[in-house]
Amino acid sequence: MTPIYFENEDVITQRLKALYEGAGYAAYKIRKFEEYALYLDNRSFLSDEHIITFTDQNGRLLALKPDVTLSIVKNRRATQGHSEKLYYRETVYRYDKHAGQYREINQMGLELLGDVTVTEELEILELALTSLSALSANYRLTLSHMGLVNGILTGLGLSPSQKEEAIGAIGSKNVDGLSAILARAGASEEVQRAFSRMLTVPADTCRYAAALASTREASHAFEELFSLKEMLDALGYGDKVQIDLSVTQGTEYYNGLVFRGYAEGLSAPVLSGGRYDRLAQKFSPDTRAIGFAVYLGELLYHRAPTEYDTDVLLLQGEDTDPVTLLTRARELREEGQRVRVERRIPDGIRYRTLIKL
Amino acid sequence: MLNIALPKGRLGDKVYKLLMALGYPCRELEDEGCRKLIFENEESGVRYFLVKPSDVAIYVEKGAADIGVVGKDILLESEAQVYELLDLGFGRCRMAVAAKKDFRDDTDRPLRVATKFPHIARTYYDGLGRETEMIKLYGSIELAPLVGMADVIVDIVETGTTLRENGLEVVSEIVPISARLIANPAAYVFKGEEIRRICDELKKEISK
Repeated sequence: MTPIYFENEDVITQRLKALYEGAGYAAYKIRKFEEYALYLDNRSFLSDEHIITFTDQNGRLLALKPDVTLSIVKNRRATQGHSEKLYYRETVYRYDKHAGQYREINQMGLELLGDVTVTEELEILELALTSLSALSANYRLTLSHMGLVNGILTGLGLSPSQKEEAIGAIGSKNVDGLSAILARAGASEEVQRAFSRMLTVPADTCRYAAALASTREASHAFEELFSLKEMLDALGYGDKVQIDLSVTQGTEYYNGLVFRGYAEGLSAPVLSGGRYDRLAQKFSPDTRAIGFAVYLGELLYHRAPTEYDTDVLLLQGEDTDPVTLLTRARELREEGQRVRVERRIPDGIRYRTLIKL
Repeated sequence: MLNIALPKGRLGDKVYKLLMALGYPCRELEDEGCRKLIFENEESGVRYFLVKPSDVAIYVEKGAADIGVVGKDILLESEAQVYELLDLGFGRCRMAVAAKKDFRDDTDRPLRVATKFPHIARTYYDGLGRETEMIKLYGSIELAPLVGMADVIVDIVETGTTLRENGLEVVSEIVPISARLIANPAAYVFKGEEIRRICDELKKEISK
């Protein structure tokens, strides 16, 4: 098997930082913990309910943050006309149910709060695409719109609980399961087939989405999604962007565009984001919001193996004084070499050159 | 190169035969004496992994395999983040609650449930609002109610013979189970065309 390697996480972080600052986004730092009530009140925004909690000296229940977006929308009061453009690099703490343990995840991301129109959506999508290109030459961004999926399901007369079940099946491209749910809701076989093709045949997505988008919510979302795709094509990202309606997020908070980014060689989406007006409006009624996060954690496992632990192993001879030794080390480092200074050869070390002074 | 995780055993053999017919043969895999775990055929661009059935979903979720075949029971229990592309229709059975023939639910206390599938069982009973005490077992689940360790079991029922022979019967059905074709979402982005072709061909093959 030929592994695919990525650059060091620090290099990528610096590159993303330059990209976001270059686009006028300000760095935003938040503390490691929040009041637990914030997560309790917005439980369904989080992908998991496991949160590390502890009490402070006044008996307040605090939590190590499992998410950054909630903290940002809670603390910033952006409104239409007073937009905020922010980026962050933070550690979040999430539960891994397979491993049965908490993980510390390094995450970078950006949020745009206040005015969000098609222009801002396009800017965010382009930043998502350039973020992906900072990681890998072979990347893809997949787009969907929760209003389109939700609107189609409403038009078919699904109840809220059926909708939730259907969105689960759509998210896992389970067309057999979805057809069964649609059949129970009274949808015709033709509609079931159209839905299946819309989800699984990229070349047919637009045609069947147009045919199924009968409600106002759905047709409005359809226009927005496919015009964004056209604009991305015009910006030169045609082969990197795919519309895939199985990209889903919870409709309680996400009401519009949603997207996921992939880099070849990584097993899970490395970028995820969307329009979350409903969450932002819980904190500030007159606002809109969109953002994304880049998950850098998996990159740790895709670093190219190093051949040597050090370029030069500089050994101190019995008569060499420390000043001479360290001066030599400095000279070598100035030539761009990694130099490890030792008095004897450490066990198991791999070095390119051995110099004994 | 397409990486396929197959469950060891009858289900895996059956799926391999279908995939072989679709143009993904691998001679080594047909050699029953072979103890290798990875089987590769460079010519047809395929690599098979033979893994424990309950591990298929995790190999696919973690991206070690692009696609795999797994029972719906394993998918429900693991809640793996994978695409569930096709109901292959074979390996049909049901996830059910079974108990001794004279069982009466005593709602005055939590129900003791013995199972290999605690997540499925908990989700089912949470939906009913019934408090439970889970007992996770790894095999011979039917024994638990017989020795008084559990009130009911949640397990896969195929023909019901094992239940009958042990004086147990199905109390209620939770969900029908069958084999599913699953895919890693990232693999679906980069190898989508090939995965969709396999999915379509398998669909044709099983509907024959």
